[in-house]
Amino acid sequence: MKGDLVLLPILVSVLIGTVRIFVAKRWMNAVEIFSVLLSVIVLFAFHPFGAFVVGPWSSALGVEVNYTHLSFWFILSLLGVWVAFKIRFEEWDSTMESLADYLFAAMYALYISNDMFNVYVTMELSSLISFLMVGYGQRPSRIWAALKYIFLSAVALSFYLVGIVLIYTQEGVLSFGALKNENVSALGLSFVVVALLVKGGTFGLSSWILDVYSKSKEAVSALLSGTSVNMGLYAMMLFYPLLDEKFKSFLMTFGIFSAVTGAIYALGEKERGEILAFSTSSQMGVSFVLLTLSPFYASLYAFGHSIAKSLLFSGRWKIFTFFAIASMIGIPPFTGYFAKTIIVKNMPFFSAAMMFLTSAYSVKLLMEKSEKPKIFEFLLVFFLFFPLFVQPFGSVLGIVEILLATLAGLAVGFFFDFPKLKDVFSLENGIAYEIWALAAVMVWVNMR
Amino acid sequence: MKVDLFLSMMLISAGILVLFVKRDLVVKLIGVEIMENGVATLFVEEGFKSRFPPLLSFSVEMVDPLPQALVITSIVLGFAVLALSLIFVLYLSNVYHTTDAVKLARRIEKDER
Repeated sequence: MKGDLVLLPILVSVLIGTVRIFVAKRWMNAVEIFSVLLSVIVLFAFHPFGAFVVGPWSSALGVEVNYTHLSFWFILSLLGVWVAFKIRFEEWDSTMESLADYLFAAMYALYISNDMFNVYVTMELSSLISFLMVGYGQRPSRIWAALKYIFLSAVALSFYLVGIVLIYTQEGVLSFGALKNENVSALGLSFVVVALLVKGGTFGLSSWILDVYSKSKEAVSALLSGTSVNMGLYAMMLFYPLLDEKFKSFLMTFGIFSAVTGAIYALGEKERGEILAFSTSSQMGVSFVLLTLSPFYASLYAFGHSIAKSLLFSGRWKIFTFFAIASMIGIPPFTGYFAKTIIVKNMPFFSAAMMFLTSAYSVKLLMEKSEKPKIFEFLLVFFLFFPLFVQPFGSVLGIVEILLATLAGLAVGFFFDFPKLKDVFSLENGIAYEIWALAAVMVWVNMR
Repeated sequence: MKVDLFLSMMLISAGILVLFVKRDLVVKLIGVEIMENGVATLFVEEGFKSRFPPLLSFSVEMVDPLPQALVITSIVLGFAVLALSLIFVLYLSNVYHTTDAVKLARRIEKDER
């Protein structure tokens, strides 16, 4: 029964996605939303947390599936972004709508995976669907963005496979459940960590992010901003208990680098897509730093970031733009505030710097022309307030510091015009960064 | 380091080198395939424990069948991605009459402005 509930959304979304290819009517979107929503609500209502193996095998032999509290937030973010995509009722062919359903199934399967190879298969499937969606429309710039994403993803996922085969050679199992508290191959983990940082949208390693987010159709960017980068973050959460202190320190250092550099690059951009692309790199850096402090807060932040980014990509109403930016900065009562409380407490300088930089580059988004809000934007805004209903508000930590950093950033962003920084994100550079990152991790981990 | 692991890594490195150095998109895709075949070779070699396949009825040290099953999945997924990449390259070469990655990037950027 537990297994049926956990696997039901995958079955429903694949079936409905297949039917959608043949039924090219826009009302079919409502049927899709209803069926998938029902299957996920039933899952949330019964909350069958825990691991189980598909079939009559032990966790060492079978494919293990695990629905956890961390999965809940990622599945909720996927649901929110996916429903917002469907409610748009875009005028395009039914293939794109089906692809969105398959993407839901693949990403959901990732969020309940507890097996290293399952993670690879679901990431590869999600990536394949993303490539198709990015390249939609036969515009050369989109096709080029999709090709670049393909090449960089191919190298990353090959690194991931090398990593897991090295781990499998040593341990003899692929299930995370069977691997707890083991001294796992550092060489294997090096490959895996780099691969997941590439998939996770961090600055430099994810050279695909600029082209994909700025060139894709708006609806596709909104959907992918809430799904594609969460792949790497969630997979890293699964591997996190196996990492030793050196790996964790590397992750924190790289997260800080990505957060700050991404924000600095965003300051110099003028186009909305490009600002949001670098902002994504910056926010994913913050997510990886949060992971080293608390996986729960990282999952909450990923949820808030997905919703906020999706709203920023697709919405233009100034008030909702402000809400999304406020959540990213960490102003209460939005999701970002709840998620960032642990960073404000443990790393106050980094927290203040990120609030300053995020508000500085967000000024340009607030200064754009406002348009009337659409229905799906209200849904996304509801999700920005969602943790208010489930998380205790507590004391408002450092509200004065939050406001001061934000106002200072807004002032700097408004009065100063920063130059666009050099574009160092070509395909060849992206591959080089992946190799350098691998070498850097190996050196870092082996340093005495 | 084991010789078989070293040889697989060489194959993977050769693929990455082709991907990095060559400008032609079709040659880059060949580099991706070489890299993925290197990974597949690594899988099969790491599963290899003795010379006997797992179908024999008497008790011997067997080849681990799991890496072979995993590598089939990765080959199929790699094939799907390759097919899609070739369609994209075909489209771009029809529009711009070149498969040179640097020239394509420049022309696409110029057209976008």
